[in-house]
Amino acid sequence: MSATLSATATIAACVVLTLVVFVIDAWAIRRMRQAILQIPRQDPREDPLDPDVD
Amino acid sequence: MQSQFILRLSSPPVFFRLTGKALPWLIGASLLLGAIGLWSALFVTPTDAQQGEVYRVLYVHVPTAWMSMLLYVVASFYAVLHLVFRTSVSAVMMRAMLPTGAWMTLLALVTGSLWGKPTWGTYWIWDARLTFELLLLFIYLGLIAVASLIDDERKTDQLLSVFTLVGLVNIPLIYFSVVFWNTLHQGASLSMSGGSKMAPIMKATLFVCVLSMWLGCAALAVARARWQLVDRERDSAWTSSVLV
Repeated sequence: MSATLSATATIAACVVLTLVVFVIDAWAIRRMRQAILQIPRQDPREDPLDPDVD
Repeated sequence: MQSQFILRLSSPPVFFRLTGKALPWLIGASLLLGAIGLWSALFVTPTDAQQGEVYRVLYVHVPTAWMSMLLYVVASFYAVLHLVFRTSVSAVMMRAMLPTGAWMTLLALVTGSLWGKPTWGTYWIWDARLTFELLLLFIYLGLIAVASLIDDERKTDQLLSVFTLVGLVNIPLIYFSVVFWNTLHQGASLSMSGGSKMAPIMKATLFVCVLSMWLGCAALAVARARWQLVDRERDSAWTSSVLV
């Protein structure tokens, strides 16, 4: 009985760890995406060094 | 026809659009197969005659261990593509494999260690396969560090491609370590030359779990590659519909 319980705990730990890793990796990608979207896009037609552009 | 399709895929806007369509399918298929695999692993497959119930860790450990190696091989494939064709898509795909590969390697080591305690009596031993797998984790971490340390993306891509290909020598060492050396780790349960020692239902369940893990890893890598591509192509006209 205790061997079965111990085996169940081990299997559960492995499954939960795997799911946690996938969630962490997906969360990291989501954060990267948000960071990329927050940086404003530089319009190639606009020259930032042009003194006429305020 | 096929080469035309591959050439089209190396165009950043085409890659971004096609992978955007494929991503929900990859995630959905991975979740569905994962649920079927887990259900079969826990409730359908019989108890192992030698190890008892704890052998079911195999359905998590083997897919993660295979993914740790497969993702590295795929990263190496993109490294070669990048060295030959110098496309942005090959560079971001190579880079995108690395974090997921590192996670899979860590998972393979941890789940293997949890399985090792009840079966071998120890969490860790400096066995050939375990040691080379740990080396793979360090290789992944080293490559991730190289990718983030150098500012010049083009130079880093070249350097990363070469380093990735150098590290590829570790993959056959992991795979054949149980053949080359007398190790505590069991030999391959599935072999390409046939003659599997596993029951058909166990083999089918393992196959479903591996497929689910592969689709999940592919989804993560592709999702990461898409946004890395947008970031590096931020000043191109095609990103105007993605970035504000």
